Amino acid sequence: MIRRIEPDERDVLDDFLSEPSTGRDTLELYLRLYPSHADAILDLYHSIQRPIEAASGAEVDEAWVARGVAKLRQRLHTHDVVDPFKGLKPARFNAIKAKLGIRSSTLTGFRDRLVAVATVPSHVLRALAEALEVALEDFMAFLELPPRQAVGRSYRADGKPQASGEKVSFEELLQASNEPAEVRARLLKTDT
Amino acid sequence: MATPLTKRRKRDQSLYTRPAEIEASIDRLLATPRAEILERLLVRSRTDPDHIPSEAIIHLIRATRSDNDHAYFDALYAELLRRIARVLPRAEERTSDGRDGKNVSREQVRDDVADKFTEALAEDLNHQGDALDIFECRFDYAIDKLRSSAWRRLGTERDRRDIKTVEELSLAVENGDKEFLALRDKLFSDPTSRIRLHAMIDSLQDKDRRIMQMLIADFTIHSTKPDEVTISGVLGCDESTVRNRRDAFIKAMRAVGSAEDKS
Repeated sequence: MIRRIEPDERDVLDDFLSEPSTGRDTLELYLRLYPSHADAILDLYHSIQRPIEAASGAEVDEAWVARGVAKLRQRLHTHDVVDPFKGLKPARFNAIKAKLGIRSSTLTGFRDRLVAVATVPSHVLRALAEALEVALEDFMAFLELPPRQAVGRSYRADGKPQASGEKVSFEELLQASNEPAEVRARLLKTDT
Repeated sequence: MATPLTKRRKRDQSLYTRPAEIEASIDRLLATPRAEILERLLVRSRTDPDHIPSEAIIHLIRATRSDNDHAYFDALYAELLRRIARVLPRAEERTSDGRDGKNVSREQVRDDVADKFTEALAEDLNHQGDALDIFECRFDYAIDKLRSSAWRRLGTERDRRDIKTVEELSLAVENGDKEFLALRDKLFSDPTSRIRLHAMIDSLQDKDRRIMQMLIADFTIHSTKPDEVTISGVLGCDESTVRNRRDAFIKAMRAVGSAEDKS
């Protein structure tokens, strides 16, 4: 006797959803064919019974969207991520730092991708991207990469140079850079 | 013409097909300049003739596989993310006591759904597959399906606003199938009470909810024929449990019905 192998839940639900008619008869057919997925099939059937009311007027968090685009770019490796700090002259570096009103070590934290992009308020990301003259998405894609080993950073002779994969939050970066309280407060202010 | 989908249904090996209106929309878009497509992406109203269905955007973005137009790709993807965010319950919303609050679980669900979708899209663009075919057929429900699994992964039973058990809804009452069906038909024929009924079903515990889903879809509670699809058979519970749950629900539905009559 041939034992039928049940397909996995994802395929069963996709198949159900793809049927030209997802009415009562199709439901019965699927319950009969795939009894071990009955719960998931019933839940899906139930959700199809009512229209999804997409909030078409709702404003979407654009920083979240930009982060998503950056993540996908990183996954795809289709285009090289541009390093906005590459070839940046000290005078420009200082000008950007002054424009944002931050210390060198804070800006260096961005240059070395030490900060977790999701913890940076979008007004800061926008201001930095603008100052560095890159698109917000490009800047975020750059920050999504693992931390870089800074050129000239000293390390123990008995260990290989290693940039830790852990990133710090923006708040931690500001504290480590000894930014004054008012600067921290201004930069950490959320956008809403 | 749009490239045909390649995924096949497991039950009979038939190919997935897009709804006719999506096929037609893709055909028109393939002859539309990209600059115009980029403008039309911003049209939000689904009833506007310039609105591009999400299913068609999926097709367009998959078609960029051997393409270097990054700006076009980014714009398509950003719009898909916006649509995902609009289909999902919003992260920021009022709490039950009326305060504005941020619902962390919802935010996690949104991120989880977007991550899973991104993963599937990246996989599709790198190694052409069929996992995204369903998104060209029924985008909103395919996203909704990702949302349900995300909730399950989070370990939350369901996104409940108002948790009730059937016992709380009512005690068993003496009612037969006929009354259940009559009430169901009356309530489902009216959009307002239909929404209330759905909300009520949503608020039930998993097992009770499935009993109601099957009753509403007109399945028999129990049968002596071994191959008949019945509620007690599919859900593995005994006949009297199903009847008790149904009767309790009837009482709750009656309350919905009488509220409708008064309004």
